[in-house]
Amino acid sequence: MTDLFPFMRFGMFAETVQSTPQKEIFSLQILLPDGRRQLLSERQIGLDESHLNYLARTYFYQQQLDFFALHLKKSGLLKEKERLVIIHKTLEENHWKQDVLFDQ
Amino acid sequence: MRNRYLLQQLFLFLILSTILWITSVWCMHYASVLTLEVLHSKPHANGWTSWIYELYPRLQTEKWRFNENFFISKTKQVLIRSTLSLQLLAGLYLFRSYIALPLRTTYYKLVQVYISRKYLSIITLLLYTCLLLVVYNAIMEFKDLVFFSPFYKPIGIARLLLPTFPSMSILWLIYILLMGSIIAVILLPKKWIAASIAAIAFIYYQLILFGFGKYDHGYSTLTYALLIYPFFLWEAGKSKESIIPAWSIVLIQWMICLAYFYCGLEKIFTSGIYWFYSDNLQQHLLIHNTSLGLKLAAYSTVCKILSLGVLLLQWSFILLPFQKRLVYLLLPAGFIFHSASWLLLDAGGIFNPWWGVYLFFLFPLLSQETKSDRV
Repeated sequence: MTDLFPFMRFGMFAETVQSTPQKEIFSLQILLPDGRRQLLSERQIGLDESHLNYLARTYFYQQQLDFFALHLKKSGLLKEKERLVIIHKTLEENHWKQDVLFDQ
Repeated sequence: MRNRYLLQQLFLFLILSTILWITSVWCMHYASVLTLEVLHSKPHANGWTSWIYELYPRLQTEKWRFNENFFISKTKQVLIRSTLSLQLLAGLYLFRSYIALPLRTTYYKLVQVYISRKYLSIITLLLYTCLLLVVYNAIMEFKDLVFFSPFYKPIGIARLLLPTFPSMSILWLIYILLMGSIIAVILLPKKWIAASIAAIAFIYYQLILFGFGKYDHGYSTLTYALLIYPFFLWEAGKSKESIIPAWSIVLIQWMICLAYFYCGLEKIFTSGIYWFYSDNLQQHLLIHNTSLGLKLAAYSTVCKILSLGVLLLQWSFILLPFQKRLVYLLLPAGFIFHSASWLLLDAGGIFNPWWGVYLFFLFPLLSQETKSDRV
């Protein structure tokens, strides 16, 4: 069915990377009290980095990223004095361009 | 007489194919218009467009990411693939008298096979160890996923089976069923019942994970194997003979080979000739940002050769059921391919169920003739 219905095949390696949206990553990071940064997926949270990327992307494009981020912030995944930072990275001419979407 | 009949059938096939393709091209124009209508509609608007969002919920996100041409080309792909499938069906019907006998002979040759009972325990142990490696930590994953439960949006059949994120007691039940059935398959008699429960529990496990937006194909061949393997155990339990009918093992082999073949075919359908000359692999390597991947990305020609190599590997898998000696080439190559995907693209892990199920190619199958000799 999925072979007849190619809409299901997003994000697979079958798709050649040509347009900017295909070169984007949403990175969820924790800003530790000492200033270091840690990927949220490095903590045992049930979802890996690619899952988090999908979720953040979904809520970003549906203009609900704040809802997503604030829930994560309140859910108990972060310790006291830790900040959640969501970064939107796009690969442009082999260099990463970064935008901070959320930092609280 | 037969040659004249063949010419007539060929002519008819050409006419039918032409009609199919003309209709397809004609439909493409209307399909493009309808695609635009869907893109410009709201997900919860009344009318037929809301059904598209029901069938394909990710469109709510993707329509903001990609331009209209992207979706129009996808719609055309649906028509192209449907036309090719219809053309294939028409060909099979028109030339049935020519292909029926060779097809039947090949079918019996492939399906009337047997395997020695001495391999039953080791195949079962290996398969369910694969499953164990995938799910042993599932309950910890489930517990952590509770943090994300507001973002759980099931798709397809999961909307009926798991419409909301399950409670901890349901999650524990799924986990106990999974682990209990794995142990029961390995240790207890009536293995096919436990194997069926394991397959269903494993599908539930995946449905929960897929509820978070990423539809993974990492477990697809393992899932096919787990769904078919209970039939093998059922056959094994029916008699005490020293050989067991192995049609289910052959079916699993076919599913694995077709999965690879379709992955190769998909690349050409989706990307066309761009696959060969674009800097596709380089871009993927840069995006996935692993240290080894970044080093490899510096070598453009090597990346192009590897892209071609991947296609050849995936297409070659369709030859495996017919030419058993290819296991010595394709299985090691497949193992290297998956390990390289992990090291270079961070796809999968150190253990990948895609090469885990290669175990079904490792044990000798007996044909009808060799079976008679053995018995």
